[in-house]
Amino acid sequence: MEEDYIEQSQPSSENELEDSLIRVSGMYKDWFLDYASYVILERAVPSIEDGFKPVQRRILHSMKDLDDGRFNKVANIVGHTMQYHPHGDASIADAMVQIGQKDLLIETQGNWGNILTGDRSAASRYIEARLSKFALEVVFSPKITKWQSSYDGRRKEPINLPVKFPLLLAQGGEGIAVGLSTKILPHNFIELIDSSIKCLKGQKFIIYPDFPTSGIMDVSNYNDGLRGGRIKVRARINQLNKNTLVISEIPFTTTTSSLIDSILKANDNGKIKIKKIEDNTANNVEVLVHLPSNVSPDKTIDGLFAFTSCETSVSPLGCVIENNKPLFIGVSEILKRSTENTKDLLRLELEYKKSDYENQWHYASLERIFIENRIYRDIENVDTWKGVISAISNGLKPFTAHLKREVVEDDIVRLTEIKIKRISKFDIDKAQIKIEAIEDELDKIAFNLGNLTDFAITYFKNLKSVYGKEKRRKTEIRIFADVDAKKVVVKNCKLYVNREEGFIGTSIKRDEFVEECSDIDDVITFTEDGKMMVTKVESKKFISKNIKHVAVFKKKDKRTVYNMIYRDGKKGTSYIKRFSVTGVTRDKVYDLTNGNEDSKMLYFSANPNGEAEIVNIILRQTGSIKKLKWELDFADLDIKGRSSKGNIVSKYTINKIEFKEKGLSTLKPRKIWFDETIQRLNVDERGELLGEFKSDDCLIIIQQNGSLKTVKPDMNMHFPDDMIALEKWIPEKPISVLYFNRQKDCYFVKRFLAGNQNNDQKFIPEGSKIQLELVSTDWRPVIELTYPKTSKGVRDSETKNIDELISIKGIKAIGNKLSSFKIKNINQLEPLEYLPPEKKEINDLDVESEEIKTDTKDLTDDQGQTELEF
Amino acid sequence: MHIRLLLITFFLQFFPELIKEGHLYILQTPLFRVRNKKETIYCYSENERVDAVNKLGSKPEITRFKGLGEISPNEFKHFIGESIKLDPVMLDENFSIDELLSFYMGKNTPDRQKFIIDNLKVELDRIDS
Repeated sequence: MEEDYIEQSQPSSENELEDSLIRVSGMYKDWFLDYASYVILERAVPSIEDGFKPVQRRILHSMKDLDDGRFNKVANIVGHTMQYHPHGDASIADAMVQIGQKDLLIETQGNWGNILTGDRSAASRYIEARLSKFALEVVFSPKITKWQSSYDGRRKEPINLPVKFPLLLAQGGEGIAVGLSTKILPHNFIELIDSSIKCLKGQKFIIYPDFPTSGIMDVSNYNDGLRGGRIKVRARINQLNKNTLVISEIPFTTTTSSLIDSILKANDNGKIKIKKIEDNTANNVEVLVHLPSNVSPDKTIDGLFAFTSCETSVSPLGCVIENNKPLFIGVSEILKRSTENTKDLLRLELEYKKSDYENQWHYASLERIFIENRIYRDIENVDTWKGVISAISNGLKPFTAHLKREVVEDDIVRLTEIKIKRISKFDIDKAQIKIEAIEDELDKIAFNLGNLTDFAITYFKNLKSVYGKEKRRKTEIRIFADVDAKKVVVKNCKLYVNREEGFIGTSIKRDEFVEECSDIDDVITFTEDGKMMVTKVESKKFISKNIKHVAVFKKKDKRTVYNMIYRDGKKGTSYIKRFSVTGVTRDKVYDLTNGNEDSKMLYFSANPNGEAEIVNIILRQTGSIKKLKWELDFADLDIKGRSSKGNIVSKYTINKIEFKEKGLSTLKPRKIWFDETIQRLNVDERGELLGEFKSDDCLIIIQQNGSLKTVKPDMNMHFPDDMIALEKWIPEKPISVLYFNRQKDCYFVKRFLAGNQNNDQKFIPEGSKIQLELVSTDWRPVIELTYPKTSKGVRDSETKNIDELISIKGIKAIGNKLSSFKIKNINQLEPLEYLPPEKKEINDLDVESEEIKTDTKDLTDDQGQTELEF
Repeated sequence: MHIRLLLITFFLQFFPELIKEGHLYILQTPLFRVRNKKETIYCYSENERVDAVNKLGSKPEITRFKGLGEISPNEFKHFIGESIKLDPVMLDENFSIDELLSFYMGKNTPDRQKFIIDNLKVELDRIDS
């Protein structure tokens, strides 16, 4: 292969020499290719064989040169590396610090910087390094290394290091070359080994990145690390208290200082609102974000994801050098090849050992023959060197049939060098034992070579057990719900409207104030001519004269219902309709009427929760019309699309429409689901159904730390990490709790009702001696107690109904001791049925909601009828 | 090479006349000096270096000149004078400067990437261990 490439490269350089009058285009091409090739092959892109860029390979090779088990100054190693790498010492030192910070190949001493804060390492003359045990075992194997001479011909350096591990995937790699770049993300050590083993066994595997900065990531679009893939990484943000958020893990590619900068920038731009930010990061990340008292922490968390680098997207692009060519490749393919390569290297090592042992065996056998049969005596009468050789050769001949290879002159020369002392002390038994030991080794090697895959699997398993401790996955894999930036942005400007002239905007401050909005919001407008349009917030914008209604537009908002009565054409029939607007094209004018000219909106209302009002219709007095005034209830109408024509109100001219009475919402209670994978509530039937919620229904959240709270469900809510129960709050339903008090060494049981309070309430005593054991929200939970063996034997396990154990008390009650005996285990069993009150509960709900509906309907019907009779 | 490219790009962009009239030269300084006790050879390319090493036999001293900082002033004197190595920069009759520049120096494109990958130049210097 090497010759191929030399041949290829020669013609062009010969041209260069012979014809120095190359035209610009030719020069351009040559130089450009020279430079691009150099950067790609010699600088920026790692090789697939060992996963190193040249500078990294040279650093490790130098470290091996210098390795004596003790720490070396980094500056010294860098200097040594320059024997192979004739480039900037600073860039070599940087490259080395980066390897050191990955904490795999290099053991570090001194201040190597902090990847969390972005603090730089101390100068290379202060810090020290040595190869880790892992590196010594996995990266080097001089006997099977192929070498090339260094740039000045003085030394030899490895072409590739024989790395027996998917190092590139473990460490990740990044490089920008000319015309192409590479970005391979780091992966988890243990998962890589497991995948390599699977690969050897011919099983399927899939690997995802794992970052030293931890965080949470969504790998739905990882695309195997190929070009076009994209993963999202988020910081871990929790709510410390009502006014404080704490960031405890940061996304890959960020540092706490860059993260804080991005948060401050978002704050300056008015996208989020924070009071101050504090960085307490040292060994662990701790960034405190203090919020003003009127800002929702939940919304701010989403705002942080939407507008700051608390959410970062990383685009992998796997590119490596294979056989001196760039190769775009996915991570599983890299792993496969690395595993194959490892297997191959293991084979080479075994083969090298084999030939080494074979030589030893060969020589040991020869020596034995030589001494045992006193062949050395044959040379006594020979006077020439040639004669000596042939004498020994002849002497050996009768005994060499069992040898594996022929006896060559070198072997004989070596025999002549045996010391007399050795011959006189020669012990046949010992020699035989040595030969047998070598034979044993050879058998083992032959076995391993024959079962190379098993050998490689054992090798990987061994790596895992020796080096895999404390290498657990750091980055949690989760699927993210998209944060809708518009929903979480802070309202940073005010929207005004001039209805008659038809302007809306944030700068026309003398006109009518509509509501607060943000600069990325959309605005929905309805004008008197029955047209609707959604447009972006601007400082001043002309819509159309006579604006009836204007509001900030919420996408996919099904609950806002518009009630409208319009006249079709100049003197046409009037129609009534109810509709919601969910998706629209921005800046497109939609006609809500029947489309005839001079149509006019007679009545319009926007109802954020689908309320339906009652209006009075008053006709103009003309001729024979008897009934001039009647009531109309919007609740009688179905909610349809915006383009529906509507129902006829009257074909006569309407004089006036008066608002009569506010109505109730005609919308059903919302069904709410909890999606565990993204830890969010939703109304789209994803996850577990929590129940139907009316406007004043609450959720109850119980945490492992012994606190609970009741809150109104909000789709943007975040949940605590240690949440153990989440359901619809039923005020009359007791909560049963078992906890262990280590101080008193016994379990306590209690039942209580959760009150409606928005803040956290503790329901077990506080302190490190208290541990929450079990929480049940069943009406009548049942537990089984098992007891440990004692000197008196084992007590039989017992089944107990908690509602019989203790009555309902206050939330702060300590409760009763569960048992006077020592308890081994508590199991929760199937709860008892609790029919009567539960039924009542459901009935109550149903009746209530139905009543509202039927009531309103009855009412309107009655009134409609009376109206008609008049 | 890269700096040379950037400079020529600069001239092509802003002073194309200079090149069209043939006033632009490249002063080549050697990349390597290969010497033993008797002979010194300056090499202007990797191949020349290999040839020189072969010619001078075992253990020549190889100095790599990356920047002018690696050439001593006394030595440098010899490169300027009669034997100065000047390469004129010439323009082809019919080609478009714009096209050339936008291909090589413009935005990264898949075309250019393919071109680079297909035309990579590889230098190998392997020794048998």
